[in-house]
Amino acid sequence: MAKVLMKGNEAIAEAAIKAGCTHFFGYPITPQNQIPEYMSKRMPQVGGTFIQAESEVSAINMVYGAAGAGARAMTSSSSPGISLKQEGISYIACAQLPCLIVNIIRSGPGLGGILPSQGDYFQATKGGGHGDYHLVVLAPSSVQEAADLVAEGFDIADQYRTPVMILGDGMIGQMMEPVEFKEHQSRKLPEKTWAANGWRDKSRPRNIVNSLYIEAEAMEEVNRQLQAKYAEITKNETRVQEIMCEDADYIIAAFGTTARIAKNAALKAREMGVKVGVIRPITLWPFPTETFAKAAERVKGMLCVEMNTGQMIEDVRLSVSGKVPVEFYGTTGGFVPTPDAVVEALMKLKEGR
Amino acid sequence: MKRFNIFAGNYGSGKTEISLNTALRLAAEKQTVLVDMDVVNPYFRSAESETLLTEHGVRLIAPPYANTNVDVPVLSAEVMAAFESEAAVFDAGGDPVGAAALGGLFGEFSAHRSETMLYYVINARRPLQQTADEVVEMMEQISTRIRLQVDGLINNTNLGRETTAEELVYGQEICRAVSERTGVPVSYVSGTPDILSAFRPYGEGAEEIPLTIYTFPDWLVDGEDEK
Repeated sequence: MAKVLMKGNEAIAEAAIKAGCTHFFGYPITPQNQIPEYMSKRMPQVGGTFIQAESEVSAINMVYGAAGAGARAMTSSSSPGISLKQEGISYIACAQLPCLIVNIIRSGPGLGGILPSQGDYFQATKGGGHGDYHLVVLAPSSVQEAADLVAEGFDIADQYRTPVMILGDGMIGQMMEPVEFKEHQSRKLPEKTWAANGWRDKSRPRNIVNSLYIEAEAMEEVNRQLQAKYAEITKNETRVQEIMCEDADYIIAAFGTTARIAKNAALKAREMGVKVGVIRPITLWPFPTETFAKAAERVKGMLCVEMNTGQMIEDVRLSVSGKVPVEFYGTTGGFVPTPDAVVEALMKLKEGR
Repeated sequence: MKRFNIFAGNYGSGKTEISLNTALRLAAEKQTVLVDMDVVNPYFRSAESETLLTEHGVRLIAPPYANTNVDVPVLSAEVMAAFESEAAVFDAGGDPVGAAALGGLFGEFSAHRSETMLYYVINARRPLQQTADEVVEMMEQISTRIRLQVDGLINNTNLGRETTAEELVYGQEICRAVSERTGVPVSYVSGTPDILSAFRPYGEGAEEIPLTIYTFPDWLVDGEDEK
């Protein structure tokens, strides 16, 4: 198929359609509006369902219902809207239902602003909602990767019966890049024998979708199942990209579009004779702990660069267990880090300032 | 080019690059205003190039909240000043809703109709814009909201940094089909100079708008090893 020039938001929506998503529920918020807008045009063409809900809370609960009935369901929003969805996300995780949630992050906290940010790392990876659950969090750094990860995300969700989040900063949503929709090699997915989709023939016991467990033993059993599943996901699904790391003395840790800035900074630093590599987690949960731990054995220091005040740096520091210094450079308010500012922060780290 | 030039089209067609380049070119000879009429697109817009424009003597009139942290789609009353200038370029919003802002200036454009050109910019490598049917449908929706007939088509078919002459050749075919259907002539083909020169043998003498790309942040350029 010929390449097309797409906004990240459009590419995410088209990729979802191509991945067989049949139900989209959302509520408008900048900078992700092109996702529902595109879905409102495309869903009717493929016989799917598009609903602009009356609020984010309704939208996530519509996802809960559609996913419970076995449909490939999805919602998208931006930071404050994702905050509103947290209760529903926790319910979906507890009920062990697959779905895709897209967060195109804007600057915050609060109602914040429409400019890009990565300030929702904690929210996405450390729960967000209540209880002991995790989302699988995928962080694309290009429009092409955003499209590819949507297809993967739906498969991961179905395979493990777990909600998956695509986490992009506003840049990913708004920038335009060429995209090719490759034939996606779908996994061998289990049949959704658990779906609550009718009981007319009474050939099996009733399927019940639920997240309320009043007896302590039953609640504990659900938690045991969830943790076993998270261990399996951590083993099988952790993804990371290492760029120029083989000979590196210093590592920049960055995710999403910031990783591209980091790569340009690393190239500049190399021109100045400092060997710098980039480790880019593609899954923010599960976090590529081992990749950082191994790198810590051979490098002199790490710089974590984020469009926030320092969130992923906590996971980087936990991964390296104090073996090397891990410093931080970040921007907020919608400002995007420049490669020059990243290089300057690297030089400070190198000189121990 | 005439005194007032409106560049409309679907988002991703390249209106902003063409507007910036045209305004800078006009400013070499005339007192020029660039009006950013885009009330739908939050980032990657004309208003981001204010420094560049000011340095070259182009006066920028943008929505007062463009590039700030709020999403308030209003236009400045200053827009009217464009009609007093020697030359003006209007960068429209990228969909029928965005184009409606121009419709509000119907009175001014009607009063200056013989000095005004409405160009429709086409990128036939955009989703849902890859056939003549799709382009004609979007073009009619946008021109209805602007309340003016389209005077000319511009073939700006591109894939961002991966563009080759092949894109322009494909786009030219679509533009010709759109032209046959609507009676609107293909006025220009646009692109970076290297791509335009590769396209020239297939261009049948099409008039060119050479472009310098201003809105693409350089940190988005990936090394060759990363493609």
